[in-house]
Amino acid sequence: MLRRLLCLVGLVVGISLIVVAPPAGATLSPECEGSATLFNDGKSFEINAKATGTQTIPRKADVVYRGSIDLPSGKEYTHQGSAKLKVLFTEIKLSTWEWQGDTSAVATDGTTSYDLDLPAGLLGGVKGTVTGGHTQGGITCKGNVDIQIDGSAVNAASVGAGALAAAGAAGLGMAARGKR
Amino acid sequence: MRRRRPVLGIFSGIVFGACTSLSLALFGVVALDSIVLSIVPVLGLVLGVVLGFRPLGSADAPRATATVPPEMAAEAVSGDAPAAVTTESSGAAPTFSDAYPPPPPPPPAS
Repeated sequence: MLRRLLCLVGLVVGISLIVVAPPAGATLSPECEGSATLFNDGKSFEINAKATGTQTIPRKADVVYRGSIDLPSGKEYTHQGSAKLKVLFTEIKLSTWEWQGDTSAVATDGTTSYDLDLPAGLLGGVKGTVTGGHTQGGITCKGNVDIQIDGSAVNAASVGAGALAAAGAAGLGMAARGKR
Repeated sequence: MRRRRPVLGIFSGIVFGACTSLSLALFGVVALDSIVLSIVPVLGLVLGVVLGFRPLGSADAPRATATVPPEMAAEAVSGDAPAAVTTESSGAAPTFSDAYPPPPPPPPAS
């Protein structure tokens, strides 16, 4: 029995080592450029869609964004795109854009803001992947950025989840000992 | 013999797996799109089912044979066990001779 348990634990550790550590960073199709500067509480966070490594973002921020696509200017193109946050096997739409008419713009910039609308610090340290795409004039840009929310990972939510996990482990221990 | 606790095992396994998965995400150990977050709860459930239905130390092997010292077993086979061992046990703990009485003496030589 104990040997089987050890095999199971070894299997879990092995699988985790294989799937936990994919290369972190950002990718974007070579025809496109994209970046943003996030401002929050006097601090600024630079996000580049072609940078390597995990990029830190605040829980809420005012955003100045810039983007361009490698197309000849002066012509009209249809265009559409979206940005999503990947969560397990699904994706949460963060933003979509689509214009019914054509546009001659091959670059854009602007400002926006976001607020994850959760108690401060609750999601600090959480890692995720934002994926996005933009199609215009026969060119499709696809990219993703690995992000981590700014703040301490030790907060009420994480400690509470850890405590519940410990309680579950204690219950497993009692089940493993059985009743006399 | 230990009795099973399947309900406790299954419930604890689910809680352990789900909360471990949540902890991994909230502590920033794995990303929100990591497959680990879906594997760990399933493994917790499997662990709970296994431990709930097969508690540790619940082997079905008989205990009497496992506690017999080798020298007593050898004496019982050879038939020359000492008198102190073959007499009836008056103590609380049963001895090997209670379960296996010594063989009868050999017939007298003619």
